[in-house]
Amino acid sequence: MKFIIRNKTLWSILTGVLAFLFALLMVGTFFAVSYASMINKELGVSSSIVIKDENSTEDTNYYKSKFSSDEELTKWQVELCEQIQGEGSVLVENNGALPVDKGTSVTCYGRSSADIIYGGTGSGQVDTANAATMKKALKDAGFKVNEAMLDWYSGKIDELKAAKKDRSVAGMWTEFDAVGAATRIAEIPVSEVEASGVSLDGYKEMAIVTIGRSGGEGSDLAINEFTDGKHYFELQEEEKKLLKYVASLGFGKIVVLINSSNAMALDWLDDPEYKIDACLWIGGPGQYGMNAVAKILCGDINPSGRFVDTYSASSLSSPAMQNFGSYTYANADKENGAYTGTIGGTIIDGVPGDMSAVRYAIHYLVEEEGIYVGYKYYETRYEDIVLGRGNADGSAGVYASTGGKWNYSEEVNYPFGYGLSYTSFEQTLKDVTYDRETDTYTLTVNVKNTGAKDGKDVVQVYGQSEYTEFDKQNGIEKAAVQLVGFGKSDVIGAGKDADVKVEVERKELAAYDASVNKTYILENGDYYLAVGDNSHDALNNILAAKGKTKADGMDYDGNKDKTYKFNIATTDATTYSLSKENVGVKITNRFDDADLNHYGDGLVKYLTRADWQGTFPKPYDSLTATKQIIDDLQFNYKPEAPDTSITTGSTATKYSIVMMRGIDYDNELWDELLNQLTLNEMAEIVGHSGYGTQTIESINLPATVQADGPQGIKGQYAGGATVAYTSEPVMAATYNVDILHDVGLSMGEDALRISSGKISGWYGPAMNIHRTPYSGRNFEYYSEDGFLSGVMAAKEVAAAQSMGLCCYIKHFALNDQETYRYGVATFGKEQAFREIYLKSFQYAVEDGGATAVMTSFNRIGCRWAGAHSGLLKDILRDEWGFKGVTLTDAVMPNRNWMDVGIGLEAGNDTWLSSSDWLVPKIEEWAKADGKFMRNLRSSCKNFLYAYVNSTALNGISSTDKVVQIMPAWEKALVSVDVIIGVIAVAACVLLVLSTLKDFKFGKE
Amino acid sequence: MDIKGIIRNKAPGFYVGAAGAVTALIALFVYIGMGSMYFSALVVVGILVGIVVFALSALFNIRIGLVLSYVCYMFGLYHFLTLEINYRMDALIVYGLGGLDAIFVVAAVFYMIAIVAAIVGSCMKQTRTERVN
Repeated sequence: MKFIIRNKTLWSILTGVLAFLFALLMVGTFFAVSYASMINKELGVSSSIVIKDENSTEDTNYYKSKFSSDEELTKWQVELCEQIQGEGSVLVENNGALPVDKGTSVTCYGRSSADIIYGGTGSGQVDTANAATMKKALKDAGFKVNEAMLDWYSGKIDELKAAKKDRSVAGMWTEFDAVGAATRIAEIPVSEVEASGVSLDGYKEMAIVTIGRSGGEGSDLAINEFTDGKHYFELQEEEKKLLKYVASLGFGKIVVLINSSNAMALDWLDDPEYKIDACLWIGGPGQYGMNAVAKILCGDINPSGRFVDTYSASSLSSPAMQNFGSYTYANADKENGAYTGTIGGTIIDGVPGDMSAVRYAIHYLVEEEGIYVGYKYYETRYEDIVLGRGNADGSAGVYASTGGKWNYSEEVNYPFGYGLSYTSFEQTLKDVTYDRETDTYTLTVNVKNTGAKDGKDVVQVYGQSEYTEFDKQNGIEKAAVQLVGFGKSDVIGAGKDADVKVEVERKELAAYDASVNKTYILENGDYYLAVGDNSHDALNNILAAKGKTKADGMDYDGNKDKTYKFNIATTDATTYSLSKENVGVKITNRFDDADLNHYGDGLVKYLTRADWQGTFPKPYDSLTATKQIIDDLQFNYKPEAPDTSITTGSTATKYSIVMMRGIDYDNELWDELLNQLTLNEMAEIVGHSGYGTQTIESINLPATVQADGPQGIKGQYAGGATVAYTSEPVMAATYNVDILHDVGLSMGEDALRISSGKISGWYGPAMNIHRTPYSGRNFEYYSEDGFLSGVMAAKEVAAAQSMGLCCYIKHFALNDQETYRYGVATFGKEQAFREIYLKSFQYAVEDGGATAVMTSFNRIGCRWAGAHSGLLKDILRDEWGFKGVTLTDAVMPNRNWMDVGIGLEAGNDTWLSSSDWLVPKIEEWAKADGKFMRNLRSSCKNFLYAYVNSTALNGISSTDKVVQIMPAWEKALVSVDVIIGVIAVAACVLLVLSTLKDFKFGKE
Repeated sequence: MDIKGIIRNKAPGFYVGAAGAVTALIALFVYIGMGSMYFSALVVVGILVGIVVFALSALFNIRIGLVLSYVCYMFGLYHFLTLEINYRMDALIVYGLGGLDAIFVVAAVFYMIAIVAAIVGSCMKQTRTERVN
């Protein structure tokens, strides 16, 4: 014993090792505690408990499942997933080859046949580990599948993965290095397919070739040429060889599946070399979508999807593509060849000298195309060619046209709204009525099934308002057609017919005039409502009504009987200039400073249909940030003196948040409830709101949990992953709002049942616009059209919220590309912002009643979207009547442009931080700055108002107590810290003892 | 004070500890050179106090001072790692350790070496005349 106690070396080693271990443990504990909410979510534990009031008789089951068991719910969800795919798949071509008989033998080709792209990557990625594969789906549907071929493909894909040469997928940060040259489709070479030795004997009735393209969060798809000199959304050389090879094998039928949520060029489908009989667009089929695809192929389901994007012959041909990607101010400073993050020698607020290549303020984007996004460009230019105006047939913007003149038929493969069926339909516009009280037109369209199979049809209604001299003079643009209403029939039996009523709100025909009236106007002039099979068909019908024919340059004659024309005698600048939601609130310009011309006359010439040739966009790649731009990029925040009048931590009242259920937002009771919050609690709500919030004991609010989306709610229940639905474009392609309602309900059901805790917030649905095919997150967004996106979103949100799920509609706003999304300054026209990019959000708020919004990373003009008061206060809350909480996108310590002070001031309420690093800072700022403190309190109210009517309070009565607890894992971690710390100290004490000269065992 | 005599009397433990102190000083320079926006004076204090305590311990032959020295380093290390890793969390989440920038890694490695050297040195004989156990 004496020897051991006097063993200095032993105690030195033990002290050193244990102290080091203790230090590292403390670091680990710091991060574990900081990110406790994430860990709790993953472990399925809560940091709060409810102490029940045994005497309470309140029914606290505020939101209930509509299903009696997990099995029943899952069965319904699987059916729903298949229904979405069944109604969202678009039959692109069919020469009669489809459907085929059950039992047909089939051999599958293309790597995507064995490796389906079920959705995308990033926060929207869902668990598809158990998703239906091509093999299983086809076999279940009764096909005789050449399994050896699919197995062979799987083996080759495994080899590519092992060699790290698999296909590229979009991902966080890769935008900074994923140039085209590094992008791989990784199609298996035909030479290897030939050499595979897989026998086709008995499997030659049909070949399926799947062409896949992926997308994901964090990076856009490679814009420039890659691998074999092609662009990403063109058919690659290896794919061409594969199609030729398959064509040479003598299959009875060849069917192509397009497995891409992004629109890709389909100009090759009619190439005789490929002998393609049919093509089906399947988008991202999610967990069970492939089952529906197989059922479509054999005719169990008659496809009724319609395209949600324009499929142009060149993926680069839209005006928006001319300005997409990476643009850096010409006067952004460099040091040793690398950007410093400063501009013209000026340090921009919130831009750290960070360790990555990201410089948060030096990038910009000019959306020169204005409102001419997607079909609104192609169709409008086509009309102007027919009408012989606007230099529409010039060479500018020619990508696929031959002869040097822009030609619609060559530039567009398939228009927006296009889709075939196994049967044929005849639509007749029977009647149009206008209800002055609701300001709504109702079109009654008779749909007759003129074919031999039962099926559903989509009725699409497009509007046209006249492009006037006033418009030309004042920079107002009008699309030749815009979707203003749609409806989907029930199944119509062969030879039968049914009426479909479509309502069109007249406000959809109003245009935003940012120049003269600075609000929405309904101009004098002629207006058309037209029914059409797609956007182009509707336009041809309108042109027919205008007396135009093929002789005028139309590609086919339209049907004027499918149009309804009316005239507005005098311009109405009043009716649509006032908020529907808040009396007296005027709708007026909020984005004047986002127009680049605000910083200098003539800095940018936006695309106008008055002169297609002269204004077709060119890459705006040489913008020099002016002094005003640099000044506007700064926070420009003025703190105020501390405000001691704000009450915090009051015990005068002891209200429970549950008592506020159903209480109006403006009720004075809120003030008393807010008085109970401590400063720390307020800082927690606002600054530590990533994937959940902490227990707020003063008002008995339990910890809340939020989950990613939008293809499904990430989580587990009943021992398996929640359902991963199709990608959003497939959902929208159903043109069936009832389906979106059911998707919303399903999200709510999952939120109630998920085993990792009650989910009360969902980061979805997403509703940015497919501005170009190249946005990495198009798979998360519905469409290139704001109206379609908005109607779908509204249905989904309303249904999910009826189940108590706060839907964070995202990303508000103009996050329509991933490249430099961290702070890119997006310049454009207010008309385009409102009519294209904000419309989906507007519908989700006004019609869907959304109570939560996620703001975006980017800037609008020079101002971060989360600090843009015009966006978050004037438009969102005042014009649209939004009452609820706004949340940033993911914020971390080096994303300082997402500043709390400027965000709170502008109406951003909470910060999506998974760790608590902001909490002490917010407390400090609030103490020092009265304005900050007031804004903090206001934001807490917004959060509480949203969550008081959510599943967060399920099971809690107004007299129950909610108490914060330390979860078991945290206790265990702290215990280990303490034990190691105590042992280290003990070792140190013994070391001291062993070195004391007067120690009783003897001198050293 | 006979500094030369003291130095002559020093055993390998002192030199390892001194190497640790020098490495800690290098770590400090690298840290300052990082220009981190989450720069913390506590890191600087931890390193400098650790070095001073080491020097005093060596001078006056106070073994427990060597422990105090590396505890000071560890105090600084805690603040260094928590602040700087938090700052890099987005890159870490995406890339794992590969997401860390070189200068941070260099500073962290020097810092770790300094602490390990200080611990190892403290376990060894400090002077030629020191009795082992």
